Amino acid sequence: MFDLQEVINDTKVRLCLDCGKCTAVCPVTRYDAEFNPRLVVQGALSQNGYGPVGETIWSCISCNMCMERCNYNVKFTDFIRYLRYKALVEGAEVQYNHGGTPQAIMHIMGRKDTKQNRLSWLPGDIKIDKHSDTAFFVGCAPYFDVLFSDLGVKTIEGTKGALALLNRAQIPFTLLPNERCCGRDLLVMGDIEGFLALARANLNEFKKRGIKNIITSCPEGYYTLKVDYPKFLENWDINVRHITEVIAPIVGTDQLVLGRLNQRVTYHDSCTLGRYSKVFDQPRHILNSIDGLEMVEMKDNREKALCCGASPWAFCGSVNKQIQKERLAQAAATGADILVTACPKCQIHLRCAQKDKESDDIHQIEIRDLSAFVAQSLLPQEVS
Amino acid sequence: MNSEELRIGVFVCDCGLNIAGSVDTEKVRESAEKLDGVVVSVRNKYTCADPGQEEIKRCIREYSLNRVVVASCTPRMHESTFRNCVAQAGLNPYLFEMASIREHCSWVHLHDREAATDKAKDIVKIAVSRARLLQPQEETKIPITDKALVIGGGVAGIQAALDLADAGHQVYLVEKAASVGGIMAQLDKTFPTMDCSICVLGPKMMDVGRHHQITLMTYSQIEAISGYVGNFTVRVRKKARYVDETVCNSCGRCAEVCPVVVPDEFQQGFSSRKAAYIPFPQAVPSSYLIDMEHCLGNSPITCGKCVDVCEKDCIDLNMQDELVDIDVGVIIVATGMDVYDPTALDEYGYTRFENVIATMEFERLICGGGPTEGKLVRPSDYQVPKRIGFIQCVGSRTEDKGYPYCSNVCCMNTIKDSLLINEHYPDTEVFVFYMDIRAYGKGFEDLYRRSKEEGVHYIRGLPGEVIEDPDTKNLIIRVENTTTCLVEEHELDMVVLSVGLKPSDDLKHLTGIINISQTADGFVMEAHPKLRPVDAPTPGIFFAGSVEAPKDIKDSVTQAGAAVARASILLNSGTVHGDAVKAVIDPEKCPSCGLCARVCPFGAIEVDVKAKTGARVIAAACAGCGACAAECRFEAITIQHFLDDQILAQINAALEEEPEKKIITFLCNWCSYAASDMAGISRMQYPPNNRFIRVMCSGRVDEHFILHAFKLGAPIVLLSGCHIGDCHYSSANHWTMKRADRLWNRMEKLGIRPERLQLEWISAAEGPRFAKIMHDIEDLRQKVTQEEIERTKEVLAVEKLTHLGSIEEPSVAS
Repeated sequence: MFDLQEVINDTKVRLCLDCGKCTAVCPVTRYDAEFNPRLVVQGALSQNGYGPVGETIWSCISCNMCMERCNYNVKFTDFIRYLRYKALVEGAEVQYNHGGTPQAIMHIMGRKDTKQNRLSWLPGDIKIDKHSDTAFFVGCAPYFDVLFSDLGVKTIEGTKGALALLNRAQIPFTLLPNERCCGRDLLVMGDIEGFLALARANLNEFKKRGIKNIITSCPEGYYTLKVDYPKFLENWDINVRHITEVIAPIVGTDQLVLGRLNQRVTYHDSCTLGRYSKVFDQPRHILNSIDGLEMVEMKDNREKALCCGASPWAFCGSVNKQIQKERLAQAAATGADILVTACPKCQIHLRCAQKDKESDDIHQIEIRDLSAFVAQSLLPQEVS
Repeated sequence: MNSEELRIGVFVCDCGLNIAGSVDTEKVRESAEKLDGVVVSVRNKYTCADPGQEEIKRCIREYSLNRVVVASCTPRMHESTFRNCVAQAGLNPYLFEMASIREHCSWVHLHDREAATDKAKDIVKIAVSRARLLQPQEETKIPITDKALVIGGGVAGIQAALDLADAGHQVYLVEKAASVGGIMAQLDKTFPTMDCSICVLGPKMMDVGRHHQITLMTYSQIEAISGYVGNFTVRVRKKARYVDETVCNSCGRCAEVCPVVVPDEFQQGFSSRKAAYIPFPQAVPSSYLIDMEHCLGNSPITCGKCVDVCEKDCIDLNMQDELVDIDVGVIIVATGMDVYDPTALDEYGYTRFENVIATMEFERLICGGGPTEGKLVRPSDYQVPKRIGFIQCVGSRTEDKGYPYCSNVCCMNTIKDSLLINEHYPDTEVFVFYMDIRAYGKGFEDLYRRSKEEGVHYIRGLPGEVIEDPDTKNLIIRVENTTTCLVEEHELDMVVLSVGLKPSDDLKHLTGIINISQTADGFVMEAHPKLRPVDAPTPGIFFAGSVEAPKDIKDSVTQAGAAVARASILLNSGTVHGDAVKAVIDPEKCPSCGLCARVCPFGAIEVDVKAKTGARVIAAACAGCGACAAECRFEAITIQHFLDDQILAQINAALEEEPEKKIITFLCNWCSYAASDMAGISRMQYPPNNRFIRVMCSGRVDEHFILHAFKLGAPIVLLSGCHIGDCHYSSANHWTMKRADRLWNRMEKLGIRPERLQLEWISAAEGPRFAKIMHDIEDLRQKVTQEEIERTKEVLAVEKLTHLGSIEEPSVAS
C-alpha cells in the first residue's frame, strides 16, 4: 500500500541535517531517554529505508513539536506512521489500553452495514435543518462518555454547547444518524486498513445525504477530515471547518452575543488544532469576547504548547502520565480556576492523570470543553 | 542583395575516420560541387590542421572565393579558428559558414552509411544556402571612458579602488555610510591569523582617502545609472553632513557639547553617541557629521551649541544634499551583505533574554575599541561570564526561519572567538553547539585544532530552545549531543548566536537602478558561476566581495583583484569590440510602438512612444538575441548575420527534397545546440530525420519561420532553447514561450494539429535527453499523415503569414 521510496520523498527525511533539535524539544524524550526522534529517522534511513527501528516507534505521541523546530520541516509524524504500518504488517504486537475497546468499537463502526443509535442524547431544543447541506460532525463524543464515564468527561456537553452556539447564530446544519469515527487513532497507529474502512463509510454517508460542508468541534476530527481524507480518498470535495473558525468572526456582533462569566481560565492548545492546523487566534478571540473572563496563557502556549500526552489508546504508560503532570502543573501555575480546551481527547487524557487524587504533584484543576464553556455564557434568548 | 558573382568554396572534412568512418565524404564533396554558386569543392583529412587551413587560404586566392563553407565538426569548436583562417586570406570572417556533419551526423548515425551520407549532403546544402546570403560585417568599436566607479567601501571596494588607482585609472568610490570600512571595521580580530581587524584595514582606508587617483564620496548613494559598457553616466547623491569634511579636524568639541544622546550603531547599541559624532575613531574621512534626524534643530532657540564651539567654523546646519554626475567606463559593485536578525527565532530568546547576544555584538564587546574597552562582560550584570555557549547556523541552512544556504564564515568566526575568549579569560569555559564545522580554507583547520587543544567544548547538536533563569539571568540550553545520542542540559552565563549572513537590503534599490539581477538566494547573479565569477551578465559591470555571496576577507580581497583585472581589460584597451550580431532597425518601417524595447532583456533599445521618433538600438548594449526582431509586427527589425532571409533560405534548402521525411529543429547556440553536441560526442544514436537550424537564441525564432516550414510541407517543427531562468540572454526565452503559446492557438484555429510544433527546453548538459527527444520526435513524425501535410500546405498557401509581405521565398541571389 505504501511505497517506501514515495514515503521517503514525501516526508523529506533525507533532508534531515542530524542536528538533534527535534530530540531536544520532544516531550517524550524528556521522560524516556530511549526515545530519540532523530535516531528513528537516521536508523531507518541507514539501510536505504530498511534500517532497524526498534520498539520505540510506538512511543511517539504525534504532537509535532519536532516539526515545529525542524529546519526542513521533515514530516516526522507521517514517517513514524509508515514505520508503524510496516511493523503491523510484519506482525508486531500491539499493547492496547482499555482492553482494546476503543479500537474494537472503531473496527465495528468501519463495517459498511453497521447501524448506530447515536443521536439519543440530542436535546429537544436544538434545531436541526434536515435539508441543509452542512453537517455537524459529532464524531466519537457519544462513545467517549460511555467508555470514560468514570472520568466525568461528559464530551457530549461540548457537542451540545457547539450546537447551541450554532443555533443562536442561526447557522443551519443537519446531524447524520450514521456517521463514523473519523479514524484518526487507527491512522496514527499505522492501521491504515482500519482507517480506510471508516473513511470510506463516512464518505458514503456524506455523499448519500448530499453534504457539501462540515463543521465539527473535535480538533482531531477536523484535521483528519480536512487534511487526511483528501490524501486517501478519491473524490473528497467537502469543505471542513472547526467550530471556532465559524464562531470567531461573528462573536460580539449582532449575530452572536455572548454574555458574562466571571472566571479566570487558561486555554490549552490541542496539538491537532494548534500546531497541525495553526488555529490559535480564533479560540482566544472567542474567550476574550466574554465579559468578565480573564484568560491567562500557560508557559508553553500556541506553537510551543505542551501536548496533553495523548496516545491512540495503545502503548499508553508512565511517560504519558509524566507529560500530563507537567501540563497540569503549567496550568496550575497560571492561577486559573479552569483549564479550557477544544479537544475532547485532551480532556480525557488530562482527567485520566487527575484520577490519582493522592499525589500532591498532580494538580486537580477543573477542565472544561471550550464550546460547552462558551455556550454557558449565552443569555437566555427572548422569544420573539 | 548585391550584384557580385557568388564564388563559394566548400571544404568537406574527413576528420580522420570521425566523419569518413560513417559518412561517404567523397559523395558529399561531389554533391556540393553541383550546388548553385559553388566553384570548388574540396575534401580534407583534417581541415583544422595547418595543411587543411593552408588549403583553404590557397583556394580563396586561386578561385577568388567570396564565401567559404567548411563541413566538419561543430561550429562551437572551430568557428573562430576558421574565421581567423579566412581573415588571414583577406576574406571578411563573417562570410564563412560552418556545417556540422560530425556531432550532428557522422557520430550519431554510425550504422547507416547511406542515410548519414544523404543527411550530410543536406546539411551542406543548407549551409551553402545560408552562405549565399551572408554579408561582410565589421565588428563595432566602442570607445571606453578610462574611469571606474566602485560602489561600496568595505574591504572589497577599498581593495578594488586601490588596485584600479595604482594601475593608473581614475576611480570614484561611493560609500553610503559616513566612513568607509564596512563590516571589517567592526570586527575585533580576523581568522585565521588573529590580526586586529581595524589595524589591518585602517592603513588601506587611509590610502583610499588620500590617493590622488581616487575620488572618495562617503555618505553618498547612487541615484541613477544610464548608459552601457564603456560609457556609463552615474548620478550620485552626496547626503549633507552639515560639516565640511575637508576642514574638520576631528577635535570633538561639537560632540562634547551636543545635548542629544542616541544609541551608537557602530557599537551595536551597547553604548551611545551624540547627534554630532564621528562614526568611529579611525573613520575615513576623519570628520564629524551631524545626525539631522536627531539633531534638535537649526535655530538658535533650540540649540546650535556645536556651531558655537567649532574652532574651524566648519559646521553648516543649512547644508543641502549635493547631486554629482560622473562618467565612467566600468562599474564594480561591492556593496557587501547584511547580518541575519535572529529575533524571529523566538526559541533562542534574542531580545527577550538580556544575555543572549549575536555575532556582531560579541565582536564589539571583546574589542578593545568597544563599549567596554575589551572587557567581556555580560549585559545583565556586567560580570565576566564563566560559561559561554555559541549556537551555530542561526538563520542558515534552514527553510524555516532564515536562509537555506550556508553562510560560509560563521564556523571560523566562532572558532576565532573561542580562542579570543580563551586568551583573555582562560578560566571561562566555551561551548560550541554545531551541526558541521566548516574549516575549508588555508590555515582554518589549524585554528580549529588549536581551539580544541585549548579545551573549547565542541558539542555536535543544535539546541531546541534557550530558557532563562529569571533570578540569575543565566541561560539553560537543552541539546541532544548527537554523538552520544543523549540529551544534555547546560547552564550558561551567556549565549552567542552565530548568525548567518544575508543579501544587503539595499540591493533591491540597486537592482532598480542598474541592470544586475539576483539569484534565488538574493545575492547577485554572475555571468557564469565557474568561468566568469566576477562579471555581471551585463558587460562593463563587475562584482567584488560578499555582494556576490557570503565570504571572508581573503576571498573578498581576492575577488576585488579579480574584478579589477577584468575591468582593466576594458579600461586598458580603450575600445570594446562589439560582436557583429546586433539588432538593426529600419526607421522607415518602425512606427515607434515600443514593443521591441519592452522585450529587450538588456534595455538596449530606446524608443519615444509619444514623439514617434523611431526605435533606436544601442549597439554596445545589444547582445544579439533576436527577441526584438521576432516580436516586431512591422518587420522593421532584423539581426545582422542572422537575417530573416538567411534563416528562411536554410528552411527552403532543408525542405527542398522529400520534406515529409524531415523535421526542422531550431537549436539555440548556448544550450540546446550544446546539448546536441554533447549527444554527438557521447555517440548517442538517433534517427537521421532532423535538420538543425542554429540561432543564437530561441527568442530569435519568428512565428513566420515556423509557419513557412509547415507551408513547405514539414511534418514537425521542434523549437528548443535554454531552460526558463537559464537563458543566456537573461529573459529572452520567456518570449519564446509566449510566442509558442500564441502559435499553438493559431495552429488550432487553422486546423493544424498543435502537436506538430514541439517546444523543448534543453540544457547544455542534457545530451542523453537530447537523443531521447530526437527519438520521440521521430515517433511523432511517423504519425503525421500525408493528407495532413497537404491540407496544411493548402491552408497556409492562402493565409497571410506573420511578417509576410515583402519577404517571399528568397531566390538564389546572384
